[in-house]
Amino acid sequence: MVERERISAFMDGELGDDEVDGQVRRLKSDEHAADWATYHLIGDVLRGERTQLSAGFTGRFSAALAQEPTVLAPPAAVPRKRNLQWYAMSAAASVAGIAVVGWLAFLQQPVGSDGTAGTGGGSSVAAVAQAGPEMGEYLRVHQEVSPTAAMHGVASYIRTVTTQESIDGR
Amino acid sequence: MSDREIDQQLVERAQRGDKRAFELLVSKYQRKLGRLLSRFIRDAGEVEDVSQEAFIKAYRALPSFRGDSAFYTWLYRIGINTAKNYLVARGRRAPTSTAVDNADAEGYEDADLLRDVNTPEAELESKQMANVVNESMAALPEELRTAITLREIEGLSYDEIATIMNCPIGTVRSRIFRARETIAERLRPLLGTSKDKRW
Repeated sequence: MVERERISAFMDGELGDDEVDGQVRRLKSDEHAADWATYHLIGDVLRGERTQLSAGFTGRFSAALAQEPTVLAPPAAVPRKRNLQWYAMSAAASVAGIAVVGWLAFLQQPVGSDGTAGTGGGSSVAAVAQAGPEMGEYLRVHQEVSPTAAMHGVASYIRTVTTQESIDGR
Repeated sequence: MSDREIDQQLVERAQRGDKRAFELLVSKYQRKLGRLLSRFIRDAGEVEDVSQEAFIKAYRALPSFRGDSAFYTWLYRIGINTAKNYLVARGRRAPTSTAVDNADAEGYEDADLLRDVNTPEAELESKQMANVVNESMAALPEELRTAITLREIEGLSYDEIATIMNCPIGTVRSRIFRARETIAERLRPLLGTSKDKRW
């Protein structure tokens, strides 16, 4: 493919991804840049785009651009491509983590008389049942001062206010 | 690779300090931007000045362009703001119509409604170019004319054109190139971009 044919294919987005970088570099030459501009002009005329700018616009713009400090933007952070293996390893690590936590939790369960682990709920009930009547009294007293109501803590700031209409109507 | 991706490649190069890459974008979009600005500004010389200012502003703002929108969509906004500021600075009323603001930057195609802002010289130049292109098109062999029409006017991909024309993609690429080159050969003397001249 000759260079001009490459430019033609490039502007149509029909060059391979691996060829694009080299193609853009080759467009730095004046001759190839002129071909790029001419091919785009042809397309615009065919689509009925009327020329609004004079033929000298490009040259004048280039002169103005040359006076501008060169822009150097920090490269945008591009997310790394992750392959299937990466996702498989992540999933395996998650499963392994859950398994370890589950196993440790299982080991900490109290063992029943029949050798099986008891349930957490059962042991809590048993603990409360063993607390006795004095603990029940404690809990009852404690409940009276505990913040069970949604308005708890606000009541002390509430003042009863009454309004009385002025006799003279003011 | 889509048109947007091509622009993104050029933008990224310009962001790394390659001014020529930005000039390629300018040569691609200058007519489109000029046409947009002529909706705000009547004088042809002023349209050129504002176009240049808009492109320079876009160049300065390149570090902030992250590719969230297409390059032309971004340039379109800069162009409109530059034109409005230009008119306000000269005490002229900037259009408040939402017609332009709401126009789809990508599909904005109402050339017939545009005012004629060309100077007599630019008008002549424009007509000459249009004549050369149209005459060259008419003289092209049928298969070249069909290929470039499907590409430039219908916007089809090479793959789609190959299906329609029942030929390999390589043939489509060659036909489109030969059509462009045949027209360009007749256009270059008008543009002053023969091989020994700067673009």
